[in-house]
Amino acid sequence: MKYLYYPGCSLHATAKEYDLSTRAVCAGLGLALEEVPDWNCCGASSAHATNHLLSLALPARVLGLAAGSGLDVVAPCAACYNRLRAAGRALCDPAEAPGIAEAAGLPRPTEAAGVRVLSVLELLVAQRDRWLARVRRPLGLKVAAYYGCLLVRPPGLLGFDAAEHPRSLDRLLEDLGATPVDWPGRIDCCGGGLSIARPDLVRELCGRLLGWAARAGAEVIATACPLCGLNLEMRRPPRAPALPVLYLTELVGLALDLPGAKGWGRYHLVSPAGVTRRAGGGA
Amino acid sequence: MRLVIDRRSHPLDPDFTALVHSASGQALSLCYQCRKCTAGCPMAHAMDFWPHKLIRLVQLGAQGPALRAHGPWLCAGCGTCSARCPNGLDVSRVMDAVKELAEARGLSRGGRARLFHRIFLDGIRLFGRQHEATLLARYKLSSGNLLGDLVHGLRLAIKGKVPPLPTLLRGRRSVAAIFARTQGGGEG
Repeated sequence: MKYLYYPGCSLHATAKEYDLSTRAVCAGLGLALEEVPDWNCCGASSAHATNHLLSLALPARVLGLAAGSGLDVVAPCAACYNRLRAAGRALCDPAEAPGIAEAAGLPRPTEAAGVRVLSVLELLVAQRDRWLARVRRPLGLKVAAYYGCLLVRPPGLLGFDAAEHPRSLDRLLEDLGATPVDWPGRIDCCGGGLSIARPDLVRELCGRLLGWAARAGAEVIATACPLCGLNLEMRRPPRAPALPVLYLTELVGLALDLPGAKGWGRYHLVSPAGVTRRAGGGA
Repeated sequence: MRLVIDRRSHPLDPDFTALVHSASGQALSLCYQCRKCTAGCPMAHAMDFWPHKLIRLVQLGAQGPALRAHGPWLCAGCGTCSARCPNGLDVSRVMDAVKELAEARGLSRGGRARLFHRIFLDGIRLFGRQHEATLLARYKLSSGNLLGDLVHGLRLAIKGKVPPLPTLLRGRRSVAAIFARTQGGGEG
């Protein structure tokens, strides 16, 4: 099976381990990924915060590049995923579509609107049969499943899991042999794109999330968003628990014992060496 | 924040309500001030006007206070308010529409968040993709906060997570054209 891959800017930079692990997991499962040719940035929070049309036209260009291939797009970054979905929906709206198509320079907007966009979580849930029997080293870790915002909201746009009580990531972690902990931060915001402009506020939110996860007994936080991953590591207040944060693909890689899986840990600012050693029953 | 609206200091303009309605696509008259949006907002404690109060300002047509508010600029876009509104209002979309209108009218007081958004978008206009090192350098120079995040930046660079040079798209002209068509010129 083949998918188009939209890594987004973060996976080429601060979330390198998310990119490496996503590619490795897909390769391991026989899912071929081909980058969307010449993809551009989706505009992220800054575009939708200040310019509605721009925030839809930028991801619409990406959908236009993907259209015609007949392939689904996999977007591991939760923000990219959300923006691509938003553009796809807007391109289906007869009132909005012409303006967006013109702004994005899209010759065939209906084709672009038909491109299906998946998060990595959706992909792994859909392809469960391919990996479930291949879990070689059940993780045996207590994990806080952190959905954050953009994998579950807005519910009408994504419609993949329940907005207030999502379970898909918890179930996936259980399948990997981990024990998901019950904690209150599952769908709370890390501060997202305000990290550079208002580190003070983002530190507050991240400190609270880390504290909650640690008190619930988690040894590691599982995320599927590069901004959550970065903020929880980089904006950890000095006295907050130094809980490692792993991308869900890294955990899949560890459980499936994929080559190189333990090497991804070195890219983290908070070393996950302790949990990667313990994962799968290691000493 | 408490605001006393009197006609002289804050002229009320019903057209403003209609303008935000059409810009956001949200029927703001549906809001009955239940405060659920504010209760779930992770940034409310730092805002001058909480989300439900901002909506009230818009309902009243208090254009000046609404567009000069810095609350919307602290919105992280997490969508909790929108997911929980009992009347199905996309509150976070209203926050964005208010920011966009504030920018258009030159009333915006978004501070560092606004500066960051402008530099972030300008980077995409130039390169087609975001380049963190350029983004951070330009933000530091513009904000005057030269030392902030220096250590984090270096740690990320040592781990090979900060590509020194931006990737230039083949189609970066088409990306710049999107900016020209949506921003009417290209400069922020």
